[in-house]
Amino acid sequence: MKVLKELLMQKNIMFKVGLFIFFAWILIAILAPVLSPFDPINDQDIVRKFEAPSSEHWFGTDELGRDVFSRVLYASRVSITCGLITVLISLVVGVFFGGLAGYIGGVVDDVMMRFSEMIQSFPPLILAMVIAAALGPNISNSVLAMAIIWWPNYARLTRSIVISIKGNDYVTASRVLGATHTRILGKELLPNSVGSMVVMCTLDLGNAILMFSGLSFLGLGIQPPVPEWGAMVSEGVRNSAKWWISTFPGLAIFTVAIGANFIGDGLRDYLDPKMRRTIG
Amino acid sequence: MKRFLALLLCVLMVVALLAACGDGTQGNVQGNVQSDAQDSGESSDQAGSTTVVIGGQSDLVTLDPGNMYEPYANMISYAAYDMLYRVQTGTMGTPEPSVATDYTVDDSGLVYTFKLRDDVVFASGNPLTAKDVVWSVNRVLNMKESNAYTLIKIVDKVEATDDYTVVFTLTEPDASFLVKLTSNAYCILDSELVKEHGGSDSGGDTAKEWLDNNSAGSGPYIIESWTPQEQLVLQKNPNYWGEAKNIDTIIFREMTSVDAQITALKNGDVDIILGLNTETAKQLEGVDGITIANGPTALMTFLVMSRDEALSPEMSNPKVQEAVRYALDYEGYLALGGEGCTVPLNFVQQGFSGGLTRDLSTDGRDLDKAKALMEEAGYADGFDITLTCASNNSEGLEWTTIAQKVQQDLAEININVKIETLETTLVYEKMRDATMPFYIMFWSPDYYDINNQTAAFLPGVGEDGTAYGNRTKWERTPDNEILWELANQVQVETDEAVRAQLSEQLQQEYAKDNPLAFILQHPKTFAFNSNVFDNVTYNDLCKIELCELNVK
Repeated sequence: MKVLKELLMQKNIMFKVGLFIFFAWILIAILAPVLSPFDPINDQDIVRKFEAPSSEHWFGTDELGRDVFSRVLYASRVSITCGLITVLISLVVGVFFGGLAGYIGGVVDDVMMRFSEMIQSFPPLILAMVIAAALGPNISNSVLAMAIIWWPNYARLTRSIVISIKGNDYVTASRVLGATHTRILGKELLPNSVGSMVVMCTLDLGNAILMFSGLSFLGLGIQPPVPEWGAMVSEGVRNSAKWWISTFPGLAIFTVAIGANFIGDGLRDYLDPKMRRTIG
Repeated sequence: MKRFLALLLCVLMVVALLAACGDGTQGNVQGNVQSDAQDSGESSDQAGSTTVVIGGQSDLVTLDPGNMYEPYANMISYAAYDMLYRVQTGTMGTPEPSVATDYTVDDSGLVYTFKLRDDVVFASGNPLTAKDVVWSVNRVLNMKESNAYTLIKIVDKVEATDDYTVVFTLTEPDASFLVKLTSNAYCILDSELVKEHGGSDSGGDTAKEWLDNNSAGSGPYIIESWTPQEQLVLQKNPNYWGEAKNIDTIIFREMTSVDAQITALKNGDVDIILGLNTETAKQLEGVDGITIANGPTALMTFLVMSRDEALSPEMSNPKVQEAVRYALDYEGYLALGGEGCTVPLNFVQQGFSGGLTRDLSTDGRDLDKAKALMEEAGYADGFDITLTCASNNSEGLEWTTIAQKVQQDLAEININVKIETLETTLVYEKMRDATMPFYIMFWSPDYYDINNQTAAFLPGVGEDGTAYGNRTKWERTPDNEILWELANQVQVETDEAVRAQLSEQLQQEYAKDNPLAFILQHPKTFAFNSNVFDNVTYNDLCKIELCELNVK
């Protein structure tokens, strides 16, 4: 509680804006059924396809006559959930992998880190596309594909933190006292990386949502008729004369991504003592 | 740093997005317009001559009529060459006399005798006689590696009995012979001229290279030059034997981007554009001086429901398949497809002999009937099924859009459809392996006759997944033998009225039981400058009918 209060007491206005945008989207995702005037999937009305925004359809209608507003709201559920899951999987895998590599060190470290660098050496979106296409396009496969390309970042960060503190006296003391490796790693080393991880996760959340939309845009993410921002933008591009079909989901992607980034930046400023001093 | 990058990225994204939505064409068009301006400087209206420019993306790989097979092939072959019979303007493959005045066929249906006009001359000035016809047909008959050969292999031998009589003997009776005769495979070449350039009617022909840049025909235009992927120039044939139109030069300019075509038409750089579909055409709606037109094509989109019980015991049930046909909201698909779409009754396109459309007032969506059929089949409570949908479109109508509509239509009769989108090539592969229970597909025939349709859609046809009998595991049984009997009669019946009647009967029988649900037959959308033309005509074989073009 104290932390949160301190956080909010900062002068960083961007952080507050980010927090507001992001939690607004989470609320929207939770309350989508209440807020949406129409069913995003089943309220097809071919006769009224491609209607421009009006008082009835705030964001207009798409090629099957569905309400774009409702679809944008519902799509937040998919996008935000998938972003979160991707980041969580990457976090768990990365921390485990990187922590182990950093702690054991030597040849094991070399082999493990070269492996993660191998993955990083591919262009991320291309690799995700290849994996998603190979596994077959559906939502869990694209999340998996993104997790596969994302975890090395966490592994590298965890490893460098573990290496930098594993020589500290309190770690040595713990070992002298007879603590097991698991205990040292779990109780002494990894907790020290929590701050950095939180920052990285929030920063990545926006990127993950962006990339997930990118995959869906390319037809590799979610399957129709489930609404998803990237897929909706792609539908709008096909009907480029109907600006409303792609603009609103595009804005949604933009706001979520920027919100997550603002939060991440604010957290970093707060958690990084050096930065905090300069910001004051 | 990261914040700036992220910010920059987001801002860029939105800007790009807005630009794409606002006027999506501006970016890539500018470059094009400039190059167009350069081009038109050299090619457009020199004193007193009339030039027409067509923009589109053709798939031409050769201009030799004996080798052409591409969809746009006959647009060019009709401009530069004549055949014995040609497609009647605006129809779907209906033959009418051209160089031939009429024909007779003997009782066996094997021997066709054609009388030729005696006033036809080639662009070179040589008269067109029966020996040119025989030479041209024999040339292609001896080019077995050519794609055009598939349409000519029905000919066993061809002879000239006098200067203006040609006798064809077929290998088997074929009522679609006249239709095949209208294609580029039967173009009549100036035998003297082509022989000079390596032509041969007994194998070893080397005239292709010359024919790619020149023509040796009797059509209203001659091929002046061709740069593949860039442009094709046709000049008026000064020796044309028929009634000439008022155009001196036709330029077909290759333009990959539809947006570029649209802008070029708006700017007056081109007079006709071909790359439109029902969606992109909307960008030209209401633009002054531009007419959007459409012509019927033989392209059909349909649902395929396998009879293979191992794939889906529910979907393979004929009663369920019938229920699906009654559950589809055809009016809705017509609205999706846009103007010019029709709903075919089944496998024979409108425009072919006896082709029927579905009567939506009596045979349209009927949910009660569909539900009753589901109950009869024992699936009143419904079932789950995967609908495979290639990332493809039919004249601009995305299959994923169709799939979502199908999903909702079938939900009404408790069929729970799960959509699976896959790469198009992957879907083709699975289609030939017959491993999908339920999928969306389209079809366009190789030649414009019902015989091509029966070869693709009758029960049991197509070994190794080459046609829909095999692709759906719909076996030929005594129960559907009637389809084969009727199809065999249609195959050889040369009296058009009788043939149309047989065809209708065949479609009615087919409608009683089949594993397909035909949704739409699509139109081709194009646009032209209405200050230049009163009308531009289209038929699916020739696409734009260049011979009929006449400027105001």
